[in-house]
Amino acid sequence: MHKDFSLRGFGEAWRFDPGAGEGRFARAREAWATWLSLADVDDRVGAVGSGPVGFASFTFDAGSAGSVLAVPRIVVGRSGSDRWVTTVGDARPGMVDSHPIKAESPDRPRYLGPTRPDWQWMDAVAEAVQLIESDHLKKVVLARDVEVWSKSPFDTGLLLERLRGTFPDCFTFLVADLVGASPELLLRQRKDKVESMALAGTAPRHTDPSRDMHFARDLLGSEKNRHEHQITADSVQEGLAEFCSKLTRGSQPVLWDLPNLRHLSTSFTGVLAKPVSSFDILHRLHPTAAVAGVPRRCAMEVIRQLEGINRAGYAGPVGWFDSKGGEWAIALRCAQLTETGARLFAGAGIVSGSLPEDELAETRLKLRVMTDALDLR
Amino acid sequence: MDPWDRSLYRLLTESGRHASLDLEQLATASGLSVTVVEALERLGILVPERSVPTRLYDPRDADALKAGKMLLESGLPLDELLNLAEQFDDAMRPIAAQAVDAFARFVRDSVEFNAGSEHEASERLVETYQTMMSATGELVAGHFRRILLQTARDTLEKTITP
Repeated sequence: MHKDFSLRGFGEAWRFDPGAGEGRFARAREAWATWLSLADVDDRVGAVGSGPVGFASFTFDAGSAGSVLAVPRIVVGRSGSDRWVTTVGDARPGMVDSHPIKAESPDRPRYLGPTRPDWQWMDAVAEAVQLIESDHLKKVVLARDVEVWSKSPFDTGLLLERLRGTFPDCFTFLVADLVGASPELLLRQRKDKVESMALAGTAPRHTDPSRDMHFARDLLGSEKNRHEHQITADSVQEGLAEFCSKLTRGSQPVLWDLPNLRHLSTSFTGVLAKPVSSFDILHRLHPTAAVAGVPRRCAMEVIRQLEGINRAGYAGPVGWFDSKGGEWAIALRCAQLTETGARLFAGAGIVSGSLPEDELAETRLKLRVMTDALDLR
Repeated sequence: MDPWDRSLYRLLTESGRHASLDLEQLATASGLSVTVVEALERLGILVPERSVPTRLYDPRDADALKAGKMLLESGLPLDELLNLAEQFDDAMRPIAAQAVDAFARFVRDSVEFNAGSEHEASERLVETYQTMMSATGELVAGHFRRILLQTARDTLEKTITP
């Protein structure tokens, strides 16, 4: 969900595990096409997101299991003042359980800690910088995690409401066990129209407006951040260009202000040369330079070698799809829920000249999106 | 500056003679990488004793770094540690200024009055300073340990008794 648009699924009519490996997007496309061909669709709303809708989350690393596609029994959609309900099979709107069972005296969230202590992560950043300065690697994104736990399950409804309240311009999602609020659109497809966005280059916000302006100017003028942004935007352009007969790129990176952080962003809009499934475009775009690096193959190798954590769904595509396209964000500022707690993730783009302490501070700011939503002090 | 103050001043500025470790030696002694030690220096929690011609560090810094590393390994985030260090620094500076002022008013002037010669005055000043320095250090460290224990105990008591 974002701004005035939301899709909420209840129950499960269909679930598909696309498995691991490079073929996972193709398998997802096939499975969805098959399911759709067997469905008898009656869409009297005709809005974006009405008719049969599925949700999916793909793991960051094609080698990792845990990707999932699902079609809920009931989908409640909202776009501005329009509302609609989509049901699958014999499901009835009345079956929506709007009062999930809550723990009687919910426990507070508690720290479990990072997989690797901060100094080890700083070492990894320094090693990455060395590789960038000595190798043909230009950029690599390194992530870290913090685990939290609680004696009672987290209230995911409350979590979503808080994320949405704080970040109305972000994509707030809860798909399978992945919950978060991402600022980054990976792909929006409506028949032959596609949109994407490159987000790279980050600076903190300041509560004092004049100092905040100063921060903004610094970000726009920062060579390191512009360089990081440029190579990220170029990689998105390259990916989209393969499918598009017409592709427009924002002429300059613009500021994308969030309550806690500020990014450089470039938008893309394009028209597809021929009909292509979202899943095939995702396969080409993911992982973008905003979450992996440049060159991609080399960056993925460095991530596997230096990062030392399993990203699971973090930094992977997350979104919804229907017969005409769908909307996918990159799962940033998120947490993977587990039985007893959650694993929170954040990453930072490392380029030539990156300082370990600054990158650590940046991930700390990004982690605050989820620690604040969880009310973790 | 009075002549007998000079030897004390020399002693204070020569504390740089403890500077015997270079960056790599400090990193090895603390179990951290050179890049992390450099980062800590940029963050301001590590200050070299001498910067010219090369940076040299007090061997005691290695102990401090080892202690910090242990805290990070226990799961404490670096910025929480920085925050504590900053607040400790802020709280201690006015107290240190007061201690130096007390030394000057109550000790230095009486040493000057009682000393027979300039030479004797400077020797006794240095001697008194060294005694007081270690005594004050002991008092402050001991007191901080005590209030830390007491605070921890009070916090626990609050959670145990409903």
